[in-house]
Amino acid sequence: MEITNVLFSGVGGQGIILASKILTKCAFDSGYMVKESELHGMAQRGGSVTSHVRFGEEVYSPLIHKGKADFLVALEELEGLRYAFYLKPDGKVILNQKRVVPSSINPAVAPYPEDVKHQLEHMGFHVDSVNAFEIANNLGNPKLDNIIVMGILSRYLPFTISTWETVIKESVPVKTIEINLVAFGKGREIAEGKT
Amino acid sequence: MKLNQVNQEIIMLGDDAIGRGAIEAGISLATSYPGTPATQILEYIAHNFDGEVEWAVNEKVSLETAIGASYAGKRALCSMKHVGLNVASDALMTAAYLGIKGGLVLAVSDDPSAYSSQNEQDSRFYAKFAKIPCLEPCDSQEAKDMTIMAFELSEKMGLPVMLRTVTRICHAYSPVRLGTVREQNPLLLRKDPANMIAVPSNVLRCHRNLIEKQEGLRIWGEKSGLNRTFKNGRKKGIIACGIGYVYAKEYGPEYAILKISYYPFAETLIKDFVEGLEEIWVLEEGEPFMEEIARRYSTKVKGKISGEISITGELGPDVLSEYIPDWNTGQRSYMPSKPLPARPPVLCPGCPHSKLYTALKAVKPTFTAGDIGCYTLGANPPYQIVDTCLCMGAGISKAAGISKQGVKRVAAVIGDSTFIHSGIPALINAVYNKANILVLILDNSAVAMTGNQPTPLTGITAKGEEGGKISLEELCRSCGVNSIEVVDPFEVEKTKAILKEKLDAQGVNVVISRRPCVFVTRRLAKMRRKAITHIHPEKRAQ
Repeated sequence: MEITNVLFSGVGGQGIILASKILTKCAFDSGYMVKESELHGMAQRGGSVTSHVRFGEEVYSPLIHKGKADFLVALEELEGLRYAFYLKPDGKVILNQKRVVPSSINPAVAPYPEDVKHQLEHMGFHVDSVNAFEIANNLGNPKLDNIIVMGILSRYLPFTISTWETVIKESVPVKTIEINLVAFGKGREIAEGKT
Repeated sequence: MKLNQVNQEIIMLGDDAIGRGAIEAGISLATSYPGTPATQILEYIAHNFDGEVEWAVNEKVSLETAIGASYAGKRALCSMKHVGLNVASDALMTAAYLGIKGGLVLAVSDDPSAYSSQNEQDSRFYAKFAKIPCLEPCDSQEAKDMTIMAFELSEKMGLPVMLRTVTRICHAYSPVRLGTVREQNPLLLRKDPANMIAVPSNVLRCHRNLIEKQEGLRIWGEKSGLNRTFKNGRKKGIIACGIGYVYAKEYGPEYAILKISYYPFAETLIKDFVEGLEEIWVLEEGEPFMEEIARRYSTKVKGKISGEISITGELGPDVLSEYIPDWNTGQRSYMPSKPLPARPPVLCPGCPHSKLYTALKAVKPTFTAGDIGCYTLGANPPYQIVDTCLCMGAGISKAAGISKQGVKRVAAVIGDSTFIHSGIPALINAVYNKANILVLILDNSAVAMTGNQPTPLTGITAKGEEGGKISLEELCRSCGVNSIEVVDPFEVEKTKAILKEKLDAQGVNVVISRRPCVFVTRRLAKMRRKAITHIHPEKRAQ
């Protein structure tokens, strides 16, 4: 059986570690061999971060080969573009329409990229673009955008909805379980509209 | 302790697996100083173990505490990041001579690519230097199993044993089957002056003993099966150390593999493997430690010395991709047309350090010697106020060294935990030798960079319980500094005025910038709750 490779990218503090951990547990609970790799410490302080998740029958490397990722889950636009080279030729991008402009940016040398979705599509990738931040805000908590994006990702992966929901319940603070499940459901609805 | 999970297979972080392994091995003490990527080893144990779990003030003290527990006949785990071992090395080198009693495992986590470190040194050299064995796992399951094996080996040979991991082991999840928890060793503190007192009359004999143990270590390794050959008539081979094994497996069955998880070994192992192979790759994180050995036995060895693989940076699964025919077929390069802006890490919104740096920048010190922690980010835009960063505690000493050359208005910036770790001797030295420096202690009530672990200044232990509490002001006062001021960095104008005055003052002047990290209050409250529910399940109902 083929291995499925999912790369998460974003800005440290956006909830990438939680998102990749949820996916990892879903894969494991669904009977797959799974490995995940993440970064802690200095890198988490608002820097560019990635997490790798690989699942299948037999998985060795915890890191994805460049050019072999099936999915890129980008919680931020610039970080989506930055790690697009990890994708396989017909790879899929789930792009959160969120722009976090680096504080050290020098527009004369390297401006914040425009029209990231179009650029990714031009590279040949299928892009699901969603303003998860706005949806999350409407739900009353802008930090839910990672879970909304996971809802979209879930439509492409072979895990049951009850597996996803069980793992989310186990992974988020007790007080926020309900709102996280709502956010996840929103993401799934969006994806259903698109697929 | 979650004993109900015995025999269950769960998904575990490598660090957690090491912690679990130590608990299963029957430790009576776990001790560590926080450092990425090793931090979560102790955190896991603190949450899941009833016995003694300590954040030490630094790695040397941590290892010495572990040696004490070992002398009492108990098993002890001491974990740290790679550069922590530089601090602990003084204790390690002679502990290897003297030998230990109860099992002592030193879990050291290297950080290839220096994702969150000041260098990417390879701890295997320390194991060789100290003449102690080293085990190197390739995933979480092995991390747990090898921790247990390391304790057995440690007691069998009477030596500290190193478990060397890297970031992609520590901070990677993979499945682990949980085992039963061994009973702890009985308390057995016996005097053994010949092997506990490192004085000239003992050490040569102790050194000889250590040398004589080496053959036993090699034999144990052979019997352990930790180093295995998968060959069967293939033409190409990979010598894969630690995590190198999982990368080697990615390249398919046409490669013979020599899996190395244990040092020291008899070199015939390498000699036999390379024989007849037309191409041999060495996959190892860090320096070309193994490659140097392999090159003695074959001219076909490729790796970091021959130049195909970079010595800097982590291995990753792609290092051999370009050398393997057909591997990249069908791939295209997806680089954006324009260069992308970099995104270096920054101080969090609302961080007290950022306010302090605004004030410090305004008063224009001649030179600012920084230290290790979140506040090192003051070297980056927009602050660019930290002019040097070397290792834990070095800021104060470097500032003093500069000031002693006649430079005025020199500042040192050091965090509260780093100050306790190794800044105190530097402060005393600066006072004693009459330096003229401003020492800024950034007291944010936590080891923030690694996830807000508590410090002696907070008086909260690793388990979230009440511990002894140290006063920073009294500590500095007793070091004999000329003056101590405490400021709230959010009062920028007042802070500026005091910084300016103290930069121009003679002697060693301390300014404590005190405001908790924005995450600390929440984190510590959570820790207390967790400690109560995990360690004392009976209290849950209260």
